Amino acid sequence: MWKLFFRRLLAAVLTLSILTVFVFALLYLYPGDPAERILQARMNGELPSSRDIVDELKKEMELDAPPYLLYLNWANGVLHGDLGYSYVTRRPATTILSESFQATTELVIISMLIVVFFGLSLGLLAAWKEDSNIDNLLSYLAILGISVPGYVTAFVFILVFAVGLHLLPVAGRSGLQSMLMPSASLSLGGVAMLMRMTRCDILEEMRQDYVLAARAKGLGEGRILIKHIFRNSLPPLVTYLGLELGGLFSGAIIVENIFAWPGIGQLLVDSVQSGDIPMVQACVLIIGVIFICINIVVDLLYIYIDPRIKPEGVL
Amino acid sequence: MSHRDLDILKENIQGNKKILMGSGIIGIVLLIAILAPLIAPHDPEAIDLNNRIASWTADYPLGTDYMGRCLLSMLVYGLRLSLIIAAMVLFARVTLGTTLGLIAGYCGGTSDRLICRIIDFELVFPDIVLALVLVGTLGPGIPNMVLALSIVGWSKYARIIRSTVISVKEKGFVESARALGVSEGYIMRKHILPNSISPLIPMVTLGLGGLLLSVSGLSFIGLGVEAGTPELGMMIKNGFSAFPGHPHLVLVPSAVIVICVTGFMLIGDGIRDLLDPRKGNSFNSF
Repeated sequence: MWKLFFRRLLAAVLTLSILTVFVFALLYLYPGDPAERILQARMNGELPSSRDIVDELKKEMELDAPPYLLYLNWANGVLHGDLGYSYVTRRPATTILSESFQATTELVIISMLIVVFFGLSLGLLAAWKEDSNIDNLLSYLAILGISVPGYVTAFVFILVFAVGLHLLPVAGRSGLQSMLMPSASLSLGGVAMLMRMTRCDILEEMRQDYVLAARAKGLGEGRILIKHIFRNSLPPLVTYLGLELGGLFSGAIIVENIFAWPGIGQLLVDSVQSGDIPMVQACVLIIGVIFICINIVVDLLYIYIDPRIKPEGVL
Repeated sequence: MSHRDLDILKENIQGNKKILMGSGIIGIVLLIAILAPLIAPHDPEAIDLNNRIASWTADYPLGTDYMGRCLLSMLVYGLRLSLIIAAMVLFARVTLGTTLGLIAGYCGGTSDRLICRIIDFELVFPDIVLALVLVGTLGPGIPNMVLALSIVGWSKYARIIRSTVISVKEKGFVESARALGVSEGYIMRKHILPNSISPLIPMVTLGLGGLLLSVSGLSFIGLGVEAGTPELGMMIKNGFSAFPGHPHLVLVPSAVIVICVTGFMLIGDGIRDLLDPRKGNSFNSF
């Protein structure tokens, strides 16, 4: 178990270093001179008046150094929690990032709870009532749920609950009420996917011989369903939930933009649009770290839930 | 006919029903996209400021948007453009994924390890974030968007192809081809590849649906096509600015996206149901 953990960790560090190179390279991928960009952002979009100011800034920020030195310098800062300063607000990127991270995490956790609760229970219901009208209805609703993009759901919610019924605030972050529409529109696709997977896995497990054996032993149906069937269908679901958690973080990008939710998604889009490179780098880095962590946890959980998997088999 | 056979038959029909429904939807959608110049009554980019947010008339069957552009024409051309972008990206992704998967699976060794590492990295990171950052960096526009979306999202195809190739290359016919002195390149192209691509079929249809969502999503947040281009996501973005007075400007293009994606999902789902041997409902069981 520990050996596997360290191997996974090593792989994660490797992935992370590839990520940092990509993130750093963004500085050069952006068209134009970084120094000019910084000045432009500081002066509300006006181009710097003379070359001298640009050169001065270059010297000040040591932007003329060769890229690998700049990279090492930057990576050293990252390791010490220093992600540089936002070109636009000139506040430390780490501070801005931690505020946004908190907002996004709130949203994602609530959405995840919705996904797990409704996904699992509707999936169990569909499997239990296999081929009934409810099952058929749910299966078509699931396809619809996957096909509707988050911003469309969001729009319909706003139209009905905020504009039509005046029940919920249109946008912003002000308590639990303001969280209902964003998390509902964020989690719809996940609920649909998890429901389908749960149904499929449970049905497959129900046809296994051990269910027959358990029944022959005289165990109650409820006990068989929960302790045997459900437990055995968990491993693929856990992997899926890991993916879904990641999916919620990336889905949050669009949903946050609609509801003016001050999270990482909105920060990323704003920073990309204004060319605020340190903030873009910070966002991409944190999203990458989140995804890498999720992956490690899912792999380890997988082994914990299904001891039949040999650690060697995973890698 | 036993009860089990009846079940299998029913499941097959259900699978086919999905495929039939999906194909019907996609058939109509493709027809509309191909015939766009004939269907659209106006130039989708023609601005008529005297006729802003007009309601339904004989001249403008669906009314106009906030710039006085014909909604129906924009919708038809937007659908066409979104589909073309999605198809181009999908083609690039499948080509890239298949090539890398084939090399990794067939050659093994160092190239396999290297490609697997890249696949791992690509799988870990969400497509939309990388694409968004790349479009933001390169600037909006169709070529940049196609490029950004093609660089990401290929790894799932590569992974499937790799694992299929690994099992196919051990088969007898590969051995005999090699014994006949056929070159490795020829074996890869003519023997391994055709026998490895079937798992991609449902993935490709599902992928098209997903890509339509990504393309319109990127345009929606302003990091896709250039402003003013008739594209479904861009239309929704523009509709939001006329909100809340005229919800149909958002709802109509949204409905078109949802119908398209549902069509692709139904086909992909139906094919997967039929191909999935675990469910025991393949055609052989009759």
